[in-house]
Amino acid sequence: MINITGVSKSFEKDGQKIDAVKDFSLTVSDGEFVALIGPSGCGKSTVLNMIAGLLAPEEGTVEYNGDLVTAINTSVGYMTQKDSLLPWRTTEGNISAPLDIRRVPKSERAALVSQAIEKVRLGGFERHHPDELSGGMRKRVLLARTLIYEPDTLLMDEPFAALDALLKLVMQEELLRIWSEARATVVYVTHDLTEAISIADRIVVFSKRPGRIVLDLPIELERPRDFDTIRSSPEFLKLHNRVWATLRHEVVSQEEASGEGR
Amino acid sequence: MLSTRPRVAFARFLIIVGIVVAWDLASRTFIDPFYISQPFDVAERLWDWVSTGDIVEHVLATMSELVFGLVIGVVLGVLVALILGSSPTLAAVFRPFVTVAYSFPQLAVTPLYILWFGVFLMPKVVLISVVVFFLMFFNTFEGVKNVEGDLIAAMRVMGAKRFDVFRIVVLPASAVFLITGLRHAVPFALRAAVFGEFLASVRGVGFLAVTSARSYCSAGLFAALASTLS
Repeated sequence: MINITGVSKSFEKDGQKIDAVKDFSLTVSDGEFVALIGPSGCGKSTVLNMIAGLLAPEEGTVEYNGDLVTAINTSVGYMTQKDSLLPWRTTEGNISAPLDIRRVPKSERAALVSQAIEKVRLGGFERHHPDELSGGMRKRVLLARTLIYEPDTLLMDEPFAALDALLKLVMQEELLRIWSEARATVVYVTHDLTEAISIADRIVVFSKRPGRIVLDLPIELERPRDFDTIRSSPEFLKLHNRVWATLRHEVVSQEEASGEGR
Repeated sequence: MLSTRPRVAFARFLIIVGIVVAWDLASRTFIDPFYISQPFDVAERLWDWVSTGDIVEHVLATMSELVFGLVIGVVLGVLVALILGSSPTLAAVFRPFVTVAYSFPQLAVTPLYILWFGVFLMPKVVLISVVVFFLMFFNTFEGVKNVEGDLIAAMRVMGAKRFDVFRIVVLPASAVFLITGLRHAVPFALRAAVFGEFLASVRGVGFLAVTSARSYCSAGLFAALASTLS
């Protein structure tokens, strides 16, 4: 359970103070798949960074399973858009990095790594280095590395944004398949509305900066979801229109606000 | 038809033969051998040193200066770079000092080292260490600085402590830079060694060269410098 209460966080940019989030609150239950969506720069990533303990709020509190987050939160797995693989390590070497860090005995590592590789369907690429893998495969390695220490929460910051549309679809399905087995809590930042509705149990729409919640909507589409059919279903379209009406307003006013700033 | 590699080697060989022939012809026609010697004289001198075993002492002396100087310089340079690289505060405090010390012409301090440490091994080792230190420091520091913050953050969330980050990310990431530094350090160390021996020494290939030069023996000078190639 993640409990964010009244947090504020600002940044300095060109000598100006910019509020990323202000008096922001959000609760995420165990096992929930929540998508955070909003205009770019609205503080979604800031919220993830605070849950991970990489950033400390200036005001308010972040609680994780009842404990105040004051240092790096190692109960979470964090996957960002950025490719943070170690280029000098093979697929196996990269995936076993968290086990190395967590002092898992060497004898146990191999079995865990090969399980993880199977889970993300990377069999045959164990000995390849990241530069020998395609974009989608690198994401699979990152996913396996994030999952291998079985974190009870996954923080995902536009993890598949760099992929082309088709590959992105494949990876979303993969993620759902893996999630349905692991049943971790997921907080998923995106600015892709179709993606958010397809994968999440709940959508939280951020306002323009400083980020507040303007819409908090459950997505009651049945699981397991078949992307081909749900995306053309009437419920999907209804949800899409509902969220888009709110989101559109925020995106437009964010654009206008940054236009004035110039 | 030869493959590329032997052909390249063959071309190089031809160039070397060409240079030696041109040198020999020049010394026989329009340049007095007093100034440029003759390939045959140089070879003869070199052979003389080798066959009598005289050269062993000098090559060994220069080699030991190189080995000690390189080891000390590399270890200190890498160590200081890793320490400053992983602490922004320490880096902010000490970096300007290192930069100033670096822009200082290190070779010019050599007479001082000779004054302090005598004419034997020590002053050369110190000189080489100093030269190598800076090369290794700047290359390794660059490597440590090049590690992306995102990568470190990812490791921290996985549970990495400071030392884990160092072991798993920083050290391997700076290895490439470290090797680049080493590649530059070795020839610079050799220059420093010979320079040190030029100023004051009792043995070493620089000593051989400078004693030949003082007696206006160009063959000896060339032969001594040729022996550094070994």
